[in-house]
Amino acid sequence: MSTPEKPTGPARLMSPLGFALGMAAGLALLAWKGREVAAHDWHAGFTRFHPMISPEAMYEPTVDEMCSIVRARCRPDQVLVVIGGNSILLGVGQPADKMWTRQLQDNLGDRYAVVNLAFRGAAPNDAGAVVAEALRNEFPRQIYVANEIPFQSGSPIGIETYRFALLDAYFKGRLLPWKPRDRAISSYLRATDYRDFGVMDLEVGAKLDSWLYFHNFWNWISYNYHFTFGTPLMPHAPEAFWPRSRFEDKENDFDSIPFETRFTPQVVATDLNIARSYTAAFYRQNRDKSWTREADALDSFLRSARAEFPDPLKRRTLILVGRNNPYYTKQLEPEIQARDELAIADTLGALESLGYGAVGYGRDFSEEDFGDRSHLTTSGGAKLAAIVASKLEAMAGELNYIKP
Amino acid sequence: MMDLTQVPIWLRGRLKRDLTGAGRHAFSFLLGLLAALVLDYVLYRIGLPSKPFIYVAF
Repeated sequence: MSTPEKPTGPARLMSPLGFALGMAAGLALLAWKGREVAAHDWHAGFTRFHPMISPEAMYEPTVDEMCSIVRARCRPDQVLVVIGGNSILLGVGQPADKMWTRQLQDNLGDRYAVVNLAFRGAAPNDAGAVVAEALRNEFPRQIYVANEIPFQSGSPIGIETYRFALLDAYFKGRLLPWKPRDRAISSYLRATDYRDFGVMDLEVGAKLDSWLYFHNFWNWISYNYHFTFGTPLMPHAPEAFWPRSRFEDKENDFDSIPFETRFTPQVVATDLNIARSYTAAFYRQNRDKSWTREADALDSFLRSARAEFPDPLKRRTLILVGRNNPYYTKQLEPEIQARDELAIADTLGALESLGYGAVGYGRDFSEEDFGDRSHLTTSGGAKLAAIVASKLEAMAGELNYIKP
Repeated sequence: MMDLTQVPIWLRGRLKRDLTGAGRHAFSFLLGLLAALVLDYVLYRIGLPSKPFIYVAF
């Protein structure tokens, strides 16, 4: 009988079985920790996703993490109001203690819990919408609020920047089956050029994360203990490595920035052009200066707006459609102002015909209510909060969430 | 530490081999844990728009 050969070289120090067992145990332990930490809210004093806890600073909150933020702020006996949408609803230009969602909470009172999950540049069905949908059974009395501009709705899978949240929920099986979205996700993933690491990573990362929960774990480390790398927004040590909990919500206050700084001639020229063409693509002018809607404008909008949210969720979704700052609209010809009003009325009508709640804002707003062309000051936020509160109360009644 | 002079000669070699083997397994297990931590972190970073150093290789 021959004796086994003694291992030589590195094999003398290493046992492949021990290494494999250690690795498996380590990944299992980290996955457990990732699930465990995200079951609790670690965002004490959360106001909204300010830049240092947003993708702008390479912090991508997970769906589990955002669900825990909601759970910590909404009691089961309250109607949950999740605010999604873009920087307008995030409250850019409004300091945290005066942001519009605080005023909305005050207007609605204790029967409702308002949580602001909006992100800069987000589509209506991005991260906040994903979280609201993931919590549909846990908080069946919920209303989701987002914003759009006239005749423009997004893709069923939102925009690239916030797709991490959609894929996170999708691969963890937390979304409703919804054919337009499922088809769009399949086609997005099928079209992936595997040399394009950006897209491949999203898919492979989200699939692996549904087993290993590494995003929860490293976000927890990044927020509470130590951020691990420099980012374009915070490139240098030591701040780059501070835990993200050290950064407060320090949103600028439009009211403290002089008008001339916000409305420089260059900004005014650009924004006036945007305001002039706000609804130009959807109507053609008749000889008597009245407007006729372009043939496919409504159909195309209805198609995309129908696909944007799953049917069972439309009734509890409120879409806000905004107007531009009157500083600009007052400089436009009366017929262009009339076209904008027509477009807003048509958009609201179309959204309601699909089952959404819809309301416009900005008609009675003054120049002081806007910090720029579209974002609101504290006073504008208060007016928006009043309009939204009234609409939410009406919707909560229709949905039998609240007994009159 | 165990005093091997107290152990019968015929058992000394085997005990030494076993102790060395257990140390080797323990060391490998710890190395595996460390590798899991590194892999977990790399997977997290790969999912972010800011790629980790490993991407330099590609």
